[in-house]
Amino acid sequence: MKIGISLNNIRFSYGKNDVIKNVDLEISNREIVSLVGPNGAGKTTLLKLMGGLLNPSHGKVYVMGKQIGEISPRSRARIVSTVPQNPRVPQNLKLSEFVMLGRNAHLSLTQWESNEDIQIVKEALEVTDTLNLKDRHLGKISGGELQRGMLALALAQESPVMLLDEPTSNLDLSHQSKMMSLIANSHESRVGPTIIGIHDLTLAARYSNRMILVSEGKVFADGTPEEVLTPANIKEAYGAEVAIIPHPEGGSPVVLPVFNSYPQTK
Amino acid sequence: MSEHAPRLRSNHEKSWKFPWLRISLGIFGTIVCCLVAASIGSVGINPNSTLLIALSRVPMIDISQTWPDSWDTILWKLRFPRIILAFIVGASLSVSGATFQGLFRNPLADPYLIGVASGASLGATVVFLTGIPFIYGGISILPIASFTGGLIAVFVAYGIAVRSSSTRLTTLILAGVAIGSFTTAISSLLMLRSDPDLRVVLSWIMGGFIKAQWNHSLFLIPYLLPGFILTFAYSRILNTMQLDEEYASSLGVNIERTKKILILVATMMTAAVVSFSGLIGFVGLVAPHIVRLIWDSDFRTLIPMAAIVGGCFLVIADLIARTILSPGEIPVGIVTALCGAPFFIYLLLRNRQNTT
Repeated sequence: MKIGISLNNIRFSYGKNDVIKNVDLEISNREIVSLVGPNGAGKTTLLKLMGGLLNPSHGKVYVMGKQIGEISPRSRARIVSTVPQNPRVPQNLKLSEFVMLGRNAHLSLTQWESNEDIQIVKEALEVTDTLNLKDRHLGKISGGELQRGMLALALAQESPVMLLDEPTSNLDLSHQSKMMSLIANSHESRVGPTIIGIHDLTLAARYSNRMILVSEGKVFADGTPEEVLTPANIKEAYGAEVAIIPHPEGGSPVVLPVFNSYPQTK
Repeated sequence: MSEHAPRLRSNHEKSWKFPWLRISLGIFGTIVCCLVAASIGSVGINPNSTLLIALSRVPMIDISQTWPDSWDTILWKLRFPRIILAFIVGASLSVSGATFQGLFRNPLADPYLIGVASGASLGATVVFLTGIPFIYGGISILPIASFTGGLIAVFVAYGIAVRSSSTRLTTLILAGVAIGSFTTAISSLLMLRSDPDLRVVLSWIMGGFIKAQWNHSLFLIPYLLPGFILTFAYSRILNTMQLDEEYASSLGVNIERTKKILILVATMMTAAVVSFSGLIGFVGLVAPHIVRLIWDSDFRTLIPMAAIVGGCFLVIADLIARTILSPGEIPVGIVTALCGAPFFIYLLLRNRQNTT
């Protein structure tokens, strides 16, 4: 298996705060990895380090064989696409124009979008089921539609590696699973790995084949969802009592809070 | 899905093809606007004759003279050079205004309001008053001095805006206003300490085209044309930069390099025109917003159309400045401020509605 992303002894700090402490990871090309962990554990920072948007204070990050922080933003964008968490987007931009920004890395300074680029954008809109929204302004679509639009933009970028930060955070139940299956489908059409930073452990377990649990800037557990999601690991990383049962369909682990560890309200 | 395909195609063509139609319409409007402006003044000339007089000097066109010689002199020596200079200055201020708005993601940015113009004017005042030769070793010092002044001002204003944690939208303007007052005070101080004949400097500071000559425009072209072309080339990247900086960077935009290049270019364009026209405020604010209201905020439309609208706006403002108190003149900066300041307040109120 070819290695898509490798992090060698990575450290990162904001000022004096060590956010990431000695992380070593290797992610191979065919993996869908969910990055889980409590708030402030360093999920977003790890994703930004993998995307080359931050440079580690120590250690090296390789993505598809390139040291990602050292190459130009343009070459970087052709290797990794990033779906950020709650970015600020211009309200008066049409969705199709927004998705076309994904083609930026493929166009030179004086080049204009060709019919081929237009076709790629159209396909990305179609795949994410947003073609009917193409003329809507970003200020006039829902959070879920914007999330799908951001996925379409990342698809139009045509990079082998995709990093997503909380792609389901603003979505209701049906849109959550729709989003995750869109991500899983897009993974099939790319050669590189997909890394999803996500809060919802049950959803993560259902759609990924590897799970990395980070806690306090370190990798706490790494393996299949079944291996990582144990009551002991969750108790240690989150400080929460949980019970874990297999999903009635498919058998992936389902994480349930144990209520009697908290004061009863009813 | 398939019935959507042709519609998508036609729509996309509007967005992503060179805006020929808009630009041709704009150029036609510009010609009409300039001819009308040239016809009005202390000596009235009918627009037909103005057109003929303008065409009579075009090579290969032969028009027999049916007008008095004085008209020819008035137009070619006084009004045409003045109108062309006003157009060039307005176009440059608008393009640099649109660029600053895009770079700082701030719809209120304007070369005058963020202190660039005042900084540039301080640089020029220093040259005017300290007796540094205007031309040194074959190089004109004036634009270099105003460029330096403008550049220092924009970096200080932007530095303050980035450092302060509150909303950058207003901080940038506040910092710019503070820098503007500061540099204007220094300019005034320099003027008080200098020779008694201040009229030259004063009339220049107030902004105007009374002394406009053909060679002013010729001198400006080599500074402005490359600046304009470079800014237009960067318009797709300016579109991308309307996203969060990190998002734009992940899409392949080299944020730091783009900022450096475009700040240099926009400041150069402002400084070059300030050294000939003095301080003219609000053009860089009004014109780009008119374009946004009429067409859209895509920088590929915005940059060329802001140049056209801004140029015409200043031609009309200058027409008002030289005719409203005829035979006297008022500084054109007063006219643009009278239109621009209320417009600025309108934008402030509208932006507040958008963010709350």
